[in-house]
Amino acid sequence: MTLFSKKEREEEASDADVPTAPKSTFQSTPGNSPKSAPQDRTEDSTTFFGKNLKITGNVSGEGNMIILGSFEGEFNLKGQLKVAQGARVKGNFKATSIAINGDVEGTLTATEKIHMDNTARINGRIVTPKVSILDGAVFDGEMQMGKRSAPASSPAVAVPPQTSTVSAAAGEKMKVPDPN
Amino acid sequence: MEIGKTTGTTSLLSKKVRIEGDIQGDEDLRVEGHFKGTIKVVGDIFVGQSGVVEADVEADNIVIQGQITGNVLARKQLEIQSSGQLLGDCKAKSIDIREGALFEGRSSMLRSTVSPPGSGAGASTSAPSEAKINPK
Repeated sequence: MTLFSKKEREEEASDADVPTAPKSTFQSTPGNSPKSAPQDRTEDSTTFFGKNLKITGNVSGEGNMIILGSFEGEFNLKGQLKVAQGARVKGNFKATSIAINGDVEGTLTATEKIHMDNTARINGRIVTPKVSILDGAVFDGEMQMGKRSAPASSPAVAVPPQTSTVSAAAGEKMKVPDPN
Repeated sequence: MEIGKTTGTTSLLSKKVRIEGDIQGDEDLRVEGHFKGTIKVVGDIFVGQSGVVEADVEADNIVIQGQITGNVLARKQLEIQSSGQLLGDCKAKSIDIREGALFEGRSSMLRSTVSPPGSGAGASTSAPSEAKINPK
């Protein structure tokens, strides 16, 4: 309650005091920049990159983001990421949840869930506790849903390479003479 | 708060988002967050009040309500509004600096003969200004 009395005193002291000052003492988070006054929340809603923008580099922060253009680089977001249809992204992506409708190459890490829509094309690695993949999505790569920390190569699953090449070659030979 | 016009889509870099790198393309962009690197667009750049840009910026129209640290090239107009800050050199066809704005740097004007980059480069030999920002 000391805070309250202090606030009242401050208000008495100067009527023209900035209204954000008491709030900052209440929160007292050192990470907050002094300029981030609580303004209208509509402004900081969703970061949006149109389809004619090409971005390379590092993205970090919080909020939701929609990418329609192309992006390449490191991505670390507290919030939802949506890679729209037609978008092409490449790199390392971390977000709370990720929805993919476009082209992705690289590693996707979600703390909540990943959704791949039917237009999604993914080439890479996915780490998420929950996933949904729609019919039509293309996913080439590796999925990790457990808590396995080391991404060691799993020899148990690996198919002996000779057998697969032989069968593939046989399949091609079968196809070639086919008049249809 | 108005950017003037709403042509097609405007990309938005919102508050609490930080990007380090390059942005290129032909689209309008509004920056409310933090950007470091270079911006080169065919379109307008609007740096909102919470926007902080540490970058060389090249665009058609540039409106600054927040702050830009770096060199700026506006092919059309540069506008620094009263809450805006520009620390760096500017090059523009026309400039509009409101009372209260902060501008530290050199300013030079693009002559009207300068056409958009890529087209009609040989038209003006007298005008030294090319559509490029000179590095400091």
